[in-house]
Amino acid sequence: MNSMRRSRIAPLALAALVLAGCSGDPMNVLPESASVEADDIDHLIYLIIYVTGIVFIGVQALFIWFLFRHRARPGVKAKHVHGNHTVELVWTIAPSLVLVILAVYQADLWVRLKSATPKDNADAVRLQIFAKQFEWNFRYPGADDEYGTKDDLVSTGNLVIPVDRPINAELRAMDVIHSFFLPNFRFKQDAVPGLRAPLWFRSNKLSADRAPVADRNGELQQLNYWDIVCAELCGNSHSAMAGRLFVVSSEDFEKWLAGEKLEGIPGHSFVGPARSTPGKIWERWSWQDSSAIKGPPRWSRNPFGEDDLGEDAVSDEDEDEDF
Amino acid sequence: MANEATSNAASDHGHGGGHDDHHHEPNFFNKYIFSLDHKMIGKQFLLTTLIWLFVGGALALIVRWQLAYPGGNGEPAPRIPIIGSILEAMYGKPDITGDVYNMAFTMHASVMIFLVVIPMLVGAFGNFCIPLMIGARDMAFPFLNAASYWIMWPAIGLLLTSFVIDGAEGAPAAGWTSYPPLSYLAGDGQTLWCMAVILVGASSVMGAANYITTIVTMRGPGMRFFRMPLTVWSIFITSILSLLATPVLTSAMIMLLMDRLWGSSFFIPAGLSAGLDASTNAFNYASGGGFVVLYQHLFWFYSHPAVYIMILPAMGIVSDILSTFSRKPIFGYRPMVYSISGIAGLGFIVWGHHMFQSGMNPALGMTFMLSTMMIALPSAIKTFNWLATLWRGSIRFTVPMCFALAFVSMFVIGGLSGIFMAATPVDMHIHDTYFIVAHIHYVLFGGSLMGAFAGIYYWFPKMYGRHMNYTVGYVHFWLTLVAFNVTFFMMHIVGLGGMHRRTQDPYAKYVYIDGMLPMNRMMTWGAIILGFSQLLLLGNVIWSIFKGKKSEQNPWNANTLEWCAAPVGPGIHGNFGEFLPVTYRGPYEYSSPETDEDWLPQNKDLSATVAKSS
Repeated sequence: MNSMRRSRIAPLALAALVLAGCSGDPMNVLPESASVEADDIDHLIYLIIYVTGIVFIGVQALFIWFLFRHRARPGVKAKHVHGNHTVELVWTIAPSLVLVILAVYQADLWVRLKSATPKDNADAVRLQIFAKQFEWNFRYPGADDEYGTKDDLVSTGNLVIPVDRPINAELRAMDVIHSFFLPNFRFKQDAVPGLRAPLWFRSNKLSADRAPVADRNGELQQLNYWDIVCAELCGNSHSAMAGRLFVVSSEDFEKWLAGEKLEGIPGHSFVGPARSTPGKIWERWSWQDSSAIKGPPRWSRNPFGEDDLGEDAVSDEDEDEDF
Repeated sequence: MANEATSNAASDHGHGGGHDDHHHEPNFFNKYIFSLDHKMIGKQFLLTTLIWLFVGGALALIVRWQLAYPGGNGEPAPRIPIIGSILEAMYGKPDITGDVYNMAFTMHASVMIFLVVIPMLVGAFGNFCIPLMIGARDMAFPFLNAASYWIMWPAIGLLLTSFVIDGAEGAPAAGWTSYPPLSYLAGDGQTLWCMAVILVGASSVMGAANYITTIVTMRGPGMRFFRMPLTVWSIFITSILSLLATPVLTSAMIMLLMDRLWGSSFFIPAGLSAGLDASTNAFNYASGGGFVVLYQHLFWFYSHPAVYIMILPAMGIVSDILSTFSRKPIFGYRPMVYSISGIAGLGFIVWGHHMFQSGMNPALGMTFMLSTMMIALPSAIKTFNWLATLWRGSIRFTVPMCFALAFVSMFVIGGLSGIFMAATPVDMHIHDTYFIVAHIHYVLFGGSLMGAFAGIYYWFPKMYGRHMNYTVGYVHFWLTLVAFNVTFFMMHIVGLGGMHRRTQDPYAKYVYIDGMLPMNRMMTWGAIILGFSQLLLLGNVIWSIFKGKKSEQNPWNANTLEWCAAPVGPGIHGNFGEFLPVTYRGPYEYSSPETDEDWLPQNKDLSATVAKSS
C-alpha cells in the first residue's frame, strides 16, 4: 500500500514518462505482471492514461481558468456569441481521430488475446476449467490427451502450469455464471453455463518469484502462487471463490503430472473417472455438497427420465460426463 | 421597457386569477395527492425520489461499512451503527453476511436507478419543466401523467416486501443486473424485484409517451423546435430512448419470471436442474434450451440506453443553468442538440460493451468497441461547448451554478474513464472491478445527481415560490463535492489494482486486496460524510417549502418561459392565465446587444418597442 500512496504524487512525472516511452507500471497501481500479454495490456492502459490524462488536465485547467478569469465583475458584460462553425469542426474531428487511432491500435491485441488460441502449438498444455459455487476445478487430459479417461488428473482450487508454455483451456460453468480472473495476467473470461469458452494464456514468471505482497498492516507476505479470482457475482460466498495458480518450470510440471510431491505445491487430487461411469464424477468430487446457497443448483442427465436425450444430442467425445 | 416583462406577467397573473375562477377551488386531496396538474405531479416525483435517495444511500453504506470493517485476523466485524438495528429487526441479527451484503448492493443499485435517478430527472423535472418551458397549459395526457406517478407505488411496495418476504437469504441479491442462472435460483424476493422493475418500466413508458406527445403537439405560439431550451430537448430525446428501450427490459423481466415460476427456460441451458427447495429435495427441472447470454443482450439493450436516459436530462438542465449564470448564450446550440441525438442513436448500438468478457463472440466485441469509442465523441463535443459557454461569460457562482459546474468537471472524469473500458484488452483487466464502480458513480452521481441537485436549487423558487437557504446550499455543495471525490476517485486505483466488485469479504482470501483495506476505509468515511451531507439537502428542501424567503417572479433573470411568462410562485393550474405566451426567439439571448439588460425573455416582443421608439 505504501507503493500506492507513492503513486498519487506520480502524475507530475507522467509527462516525462510519455516522452520516454516507458513500459511496465510506473504509477505502481497494477498487480505484478506475470505474462507478456499482461505487459502489452499494461502498455495500452498507460497509453490511455497518458492520452486521457492530457485531456483531463487540459480541460480542467481551462475550466478553472475560465471560472476565475470570467467571473462576474461590475461593468463587464458577457460576450454575446452563439457558436463558431470552425471550432465545432475542430473539436469534432480532433477527438474522433484520437478515438479511431486508439480503437485501431488496440484491435490487434484483442485479436491476439481472444481469437489466436495457439491450439496447434505442440507445446501447449491442454486443460479444462470447471467453475462451480464456490470453487474452481481443473482437469488435465493425462498422457492419452483425452478427457474422460482413466488417466485424467483433477485438482480442486489449485492450478499448476509450466512457465513459458501456452495454456489452452476450455472454461465451463456448472451452475451459475462465474468469471475466471487472473489479475496478474490481466486475464478474464466469464464461465457461462451452457457454453464452452476457449481461452489461452501463458506465464513468463514462476509464481515462486512473486514479489512480496503487502497486507492490511503493511506487512509484506511472500506468496508462491498467483491469484485466481472469481470476478462475476455467483452467490453469497462469491468473495471466497479463490484459487491458486502455481507456475513451475517445465521439468517440475512433468514431475507434478507424474504425481511427485513438489515443495510448496499441492498435488493433484485424484485420477478422474472411467468413461463408463458418467455421473460419478461429481460424487467423487463431492460437488453435490453445495448447500451454501439456498436451492443448490445441480446438473442432471435428463430432467424427463431415463432415456438419454443428452447422449444422442452430443456427439463430441468430450461430452461423456455431461457437464 | 425594462419593466415590460414584469408588467406583462402581472397582467397575466390577473388573467390567471380570472381563469382560475372558472374552476372550483380543488380540495386538499385533489390538489396535493391525486392532482392532475403536471407541476404537482413533478413535485410528487421529486419528494418521493428525495426520500428514496436516503434508502439507497443507507444500502450503499452497508456495502461500504462491510468493506471498511470486515473483521478478520480472528476479530469479529464491528456492528454497523444505526443500520445494524434495522438489519436486526429485518433479519434477526445485525451481521452483514454474504446474503445481506449481496442484497445491499443489489437494492442500492435498483433503488438508485429505478426509484431515484430516472424518476427524479425524467419524472420530476420532465413533468415540472416541459409544459412551462414550451408554453403549454399541461401535459397532453394529464391522467396518464398521474398514473405514471402512482404506478411507482406498487413497485415501491413490492421492493419493500422483497427485503423481508423470504428472510435474508431470499431478498433480491443477484445484482441489479440479475443475471440468470443466479437470479433464476434466487429466493422469492427476486420474483417481486422483477415485478417491480416491470412496473417502474411501465411508469417510464407512460411518461415518455406523454412527453413526446406534449412536445410535438403542444408547443406554444412561436415555440419552434429550435427555440426549445436544451432541458426540453434532452428530455424529448430521452423519452424516445425510454419508449424504444424499456419494452425490451420488460420482456427480459417477463421471460425471467416465466423461467422462475413456470419453467419456461428462456435463459436456462439444457441439463441444468435446480433444486428450489433443498429441505424437501423437490426439484424444479428446467427443460433447457435457453441461453444465459441472451438475457444479457436483452438486459443491456435496455440498460445501456438507460445510462443515457439517466444522464441526458442532467446534461440539458446543466446547459440551461450554465448559460443563465454565465449570462451568455449556450455555445453551439444546434451542435448540442445534434450531439444529444447522436448519443441517443449510438446508445442503441453499444450495449455489447458490457459483455466483452461474457462469452460473446470476440469478433462482435470489436464492433462494439468501435461504436463505444465513437459515442465518446458527442459527449466530448458537449463538454467543449460547455467550456466555450463559460468563456468570456460573466459567471455568477450561485448554488445551482456550482452544482452545474461540478457536473461538467465530474462528467469529464466519468467520460474519460469510459475510454479505458471501451478498449477491449484493457476491459479484460478492469471489467467487474472497482474501476467500473468508479466510472458509473462519476457518471451517475458526479453527473446525473449533481445535475439533479443543480435543477432542484434552480427551479425550487418556481416550484414553491420560495428560495432555498443558500448558505446551507454552499455547505451542501462543498461537502458533496469533496466527499464524493474522496469516496470514488480511489476506486479507480483499487480497481486497476485488481479489486473485484460485489465481494463481501475479499480480504480473507486475497492478500493483494487485503493491502487495499486502508484505502477502502478512507473511501468508506468519504461515503459516510457524503451520505450525511445529503441530509442538508433534504432538510433545506423541507424547511424552505414552509419557511424559505419568498421568491420574486424571475429570481435568476432567466429567459425561459417558466420564469418570464408564468405567474410568480408555484403557479396556477393552466400555467399561463388567459393567453399563452408568444415565443419570439431562442432561450439563450443573454447579454444581447438588442437590450441594455443582460437578458432577453423568449416572450418579449422587441418589434413593438422598436416601432414605438421610431
